[in-house]
Amino acid sequence: MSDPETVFVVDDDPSVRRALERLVASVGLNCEAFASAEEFVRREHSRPGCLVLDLRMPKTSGLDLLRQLNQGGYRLPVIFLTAYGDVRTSVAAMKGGAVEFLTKPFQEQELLDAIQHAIDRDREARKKHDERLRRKRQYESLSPRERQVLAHVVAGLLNKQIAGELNVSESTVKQHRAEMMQKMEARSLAELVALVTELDLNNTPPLPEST
Amino acid sequence: MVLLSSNGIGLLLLVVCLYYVGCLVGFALRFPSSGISFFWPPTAVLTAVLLLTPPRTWGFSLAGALIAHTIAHTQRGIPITASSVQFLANAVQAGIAAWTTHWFGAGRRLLGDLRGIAASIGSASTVAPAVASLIPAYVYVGMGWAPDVWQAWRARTVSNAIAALTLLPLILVICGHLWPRPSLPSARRLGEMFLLLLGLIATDLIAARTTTSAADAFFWLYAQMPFLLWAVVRFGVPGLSCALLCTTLLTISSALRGQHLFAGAAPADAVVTVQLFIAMTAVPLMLMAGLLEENRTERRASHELQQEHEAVLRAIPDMMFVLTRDGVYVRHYARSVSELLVPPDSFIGKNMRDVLPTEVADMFAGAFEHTTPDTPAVGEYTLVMNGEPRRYEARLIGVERDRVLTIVRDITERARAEQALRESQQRYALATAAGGVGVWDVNIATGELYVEAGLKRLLGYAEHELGSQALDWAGLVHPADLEEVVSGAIAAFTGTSSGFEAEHRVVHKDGSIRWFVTKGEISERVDGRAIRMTGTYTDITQRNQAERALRQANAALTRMARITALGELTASIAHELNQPLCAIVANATACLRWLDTPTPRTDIRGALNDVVQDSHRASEIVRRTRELFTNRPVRKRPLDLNDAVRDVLELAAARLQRSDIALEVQLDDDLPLVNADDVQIQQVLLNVVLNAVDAMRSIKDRPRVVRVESRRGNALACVSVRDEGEGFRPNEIERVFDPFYTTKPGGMGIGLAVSRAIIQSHGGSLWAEANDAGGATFSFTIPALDGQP
Repeated sequence: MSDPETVFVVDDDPSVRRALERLVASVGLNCEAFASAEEFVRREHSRPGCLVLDLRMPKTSGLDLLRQLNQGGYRLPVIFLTAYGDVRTSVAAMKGGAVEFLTKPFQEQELLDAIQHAIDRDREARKKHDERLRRKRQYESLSPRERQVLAHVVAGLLNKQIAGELNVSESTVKQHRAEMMQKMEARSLAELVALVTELDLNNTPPLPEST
Repeated sequence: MVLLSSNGIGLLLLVVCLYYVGCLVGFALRFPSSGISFFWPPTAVLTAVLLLTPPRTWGFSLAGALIAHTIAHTQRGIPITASSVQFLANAVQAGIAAWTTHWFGAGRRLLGDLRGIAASIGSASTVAPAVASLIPAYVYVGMGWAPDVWQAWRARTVSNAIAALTLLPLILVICGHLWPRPSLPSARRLGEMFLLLLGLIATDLIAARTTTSAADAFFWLYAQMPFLLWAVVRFGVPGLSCALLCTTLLTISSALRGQHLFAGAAPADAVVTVQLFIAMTAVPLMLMAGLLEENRTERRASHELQQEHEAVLRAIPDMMFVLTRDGVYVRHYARSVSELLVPPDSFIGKNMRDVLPTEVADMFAGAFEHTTPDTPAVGEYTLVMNGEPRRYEARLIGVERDRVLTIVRDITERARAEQALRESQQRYALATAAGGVGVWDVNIATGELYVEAGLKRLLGYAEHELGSQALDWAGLVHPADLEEVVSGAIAAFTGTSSGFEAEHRVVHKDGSIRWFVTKGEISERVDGRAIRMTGTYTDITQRNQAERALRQANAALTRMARITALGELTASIAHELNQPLCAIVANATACLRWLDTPTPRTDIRGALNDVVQDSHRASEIVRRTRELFTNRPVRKRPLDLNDAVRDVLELAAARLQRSDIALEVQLDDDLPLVNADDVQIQQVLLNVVLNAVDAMRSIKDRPRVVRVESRRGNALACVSVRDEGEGFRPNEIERVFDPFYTTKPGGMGIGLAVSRAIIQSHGGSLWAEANDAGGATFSFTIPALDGQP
C-alpha cells in the first residue's frame, strides 16, 4: 500500500476520455488518461492500478497494446471497452488476459465494479509478486548445501536418507535443515513444500551439483 | 394644226398665210384674159384646215381665209362683188367638203381606207366643187371670164376638183407625218419618189416636143399611167396625190406656154381636157390606193396576230401536232427538235401508225373518232425517249371536220412527283394508322383545327362527335395541364418562344387518362404575324407507364443497394453512435456522484457541456444514418462534395479501423458546388469506400491504406478513392460496373452498377483505374453548378 492505485484510461475519443476521467475521479480514484497506446507506453506502466482500454484505436489498437504489455512481463489488469463488441474480438481480448470486457455504453456501476475488481486484483497480484520475490530472495540466500538439503526434504527424504545421499552425517543434515527452515521462514515441512511449489523451482536454474 | 386650234388667232394667221399663198399660185395658173384659174389651191387648203381642226374653231379659219381672199383679190383689181361671191363659193365648198367627209368617215383615219377615200373623193372633189361652182358660174359669165354658164361652171368645178384631188390628200398626209410625232420617210423612199417624178417630167417634156396628132396626144396621156400606178402601188394615196399634182402642174404650165397636146384646140380647152382626163383617171386610182392601203393594214394586223400566236406557242412548254383524222401528220410545233421522238422530216406527211408505237397510235386513233371542236379528249401514254421512259399527256380537239389538233405535254416530272406523293401518303397512313402518332394543323385566326381521324377513335369519340375548332379539343386536355398547354401555345403564337412542346394528359371519353406529347411550330406567317401552326402528337401513355415502372424498379434497386452497403457498416455506425452515448453516461454518472458528495467538484459544468455536445453528436449520427435508410424522393440541391466525403468517412471510420486500414484524406477546399442529391452521393462514396476495404482484406504484407481525395476540375468536381488492395484481374476493370458482377462472397453485384447510374443521373461519370503500384482507384466527377468555374 505504498502507492495509491491509479486508473489509466486509453481512448482516442477525447470526449469519452474526459468522461471516463470524470467518472473515475468521482469515486475518488486517481485517473490518468492517454489518447493512444503509444502515449501510454511512453509514459507509464509500473504504477499499481488498472488499465481501461478502448479496443479500437488508430494505429495501435487495444489488443495490440495488451500483447505488447504481456510481452513486457508485467501486466496491469486490463478492462476493455468497445463500442461494438463481437464474439471474435472479445475472445481475443479475454485470451490476452483482459479482466473485463465492456460494451459501450455500459452501466457506470459495471465499469466502476470492474475497476475496483481490477485494482483489487492488481493489489493481490502485486502482493503475490512481492511475496514471491521475498521467497526467492530467501531461497537465494541459502548456501548450496542448504539448497541440496531443501531439494531432498521437499522430495520427501528422511534426514538419514539425506545424510546418505549427501554423504554427510545425520546431525550435519539436521543442522543444515534447521538453518534452511529458518532462512525460508517455514514452520513446517508442508509450508516449505508450498513455498517451493510457488517458487516453481523447475524454472529456476538447476541447483549446482555438489561435488 | 390641232395645236394651233387651241389658239384661235394663231390659227387665223396661219390660214391667212396659206390661203394667200394658195391665191397667188391660183392666179399664176390662169390665162390673163380669164379670171378662172386652172388650178385653185386656196379652197383645198381651207378644206384641209377645216378637216384637221374641230368645228368650233372653223370661225377663225374662215375669217383668216376671208382676209387673205380679200387682200389677194383686191391686189388683182377684181371687183368686190365677184371676189365676195368667189369667197362665198370657196367657203361653202370647203364647208360641204369638210362636213360630208367628217360625216362619212366618222371615227376613221382620214384617207385611211377605201371608205375614207371614197368619202373624200365624193364630197371634197366632186359634190362640193360642183355645188359651190353654180353661183360663181353666173358671176364669171357676167364678168366676161367665160362665154357661158356651163363653161364657167365646168372650168371652176374642174379646177377645184383637181386641187382637191391632188393637194388635199397631200396636205393631210404631210400633216399626218408631222403630227402628232414628226416622222420622215426614209432616204430610199424619197429617192424612189424623186425618180418617179423625174419619169413624169421626162414623159411630159417628150410629149410636148413630139406630139403632132390627137392619137399621139392620147398615147402620151396614157404614157403617164405606169408612173401613176407605180405611185399607187408603192406610195399609196400620198404618192398618187403627189404624182397627180406634178402631172397637173406640168400640163397647165405647158398649156400656158402654148405647148399643149391638143394642137389646134384653144389652150383653155386643151387644159380642161387634160384636167378632165386626170380627174377621171385619179378617181379609180385613188380608190385602188385605198384598197391597197386597206389590204396593207389587214396584212399588217394579220402579221401582228401571227407574231402574237407564235409568241404564245413559244411561251408554253407543250408540243403541238395537227393531224388529219386518218392520222397523217400535217404540221407540228415544238420548241426544240430534241423534244420530238423523230425529226420532223421523218413524220410530217406520214401516218402516226408508222411513227408511234402501236398501243399509243391505237389510243390516238380511238380518241380521233370522238373528238370534235366542242368535245376535247385527253389521254396519257409513255414513250421511250433516249432510252428513258417519259410520260406524256395529250389533249386532242377537232379543228375542222377532218383535222385534229393534238397538244402534248411532258408530265414525267409531275407523274414522278405524284407517285412520290402517293408513296409518301401511304407511308404516312401506315405510320399514323395506329392513331398513336399524327399531325395537327391549326389556323390561328379562325381557330380551325385539323387532326388525324385516328385521334378521335383513340380518345373514344365517333367521327361526328367532336368539332373542328381548337377550343373543342382544348376541352379534352386534363384541367391540371390545360394552363401549361395554352400558355405554351400562346408563347409560340406571339413569338416569345420558337416552338411549342408539352407533355400533358388528355381525358378519354370513358374518363381514363392518356398521356400525350404535343409539339408544334409556326408554319405560316403574314407580315410577321403567325397565322398557322403545325405539329405532331404522340400517345405516350404506354411509354409513360413503362417508364414509371422502370423508375420505381430503379428506385427500389438503388435503395436496396444502399441498405446492403449500410448493413456492412452496422458495426461501424454502432461504434460511432456508442462513443458519444458512452461519454454521456460516464459524464452524467460522474455528475450524479459529485452531487452526492458534500463538496461538489467544479468540473460539473464541463461534464454537462460535454453531455450536451455528445448528445448532439449522437443525434447527428442518427439523422445521417436515418437519411441513408429512409426512402425519400431524389432531391438535388447545391452540395459540397467534401461534406459528403466527411459524413461517409465518419460512418465508415470504425469499419476502416477494424480492418486495420489507415485512412488518408486530402480534400480540396476550393471544390466547386454541385447540384446533387446528398444521400445518393453518399451512397456512391459508401460503395466505393467499402469496396476499397474489401479489396485490402487479404493484404498482409504491406500497410493497408485508403486514400480519399477531392479536387476541382474544369467546371466540375472530382472525388477519387484509392486503395492498395488486390487490384483488378485481367479484363475485370470493364466488368466491375456490370450489374450482378461481384467478387465478394455473398455480394449481390449491384453496388457499383447503381453507383454509376446515380452519377450518370447527375450528369457525371464514374470510372475505375488500376494503380501502377497495385490496387485500384475509383473516381467520379459531377459538373459544377451553373455559374461556377
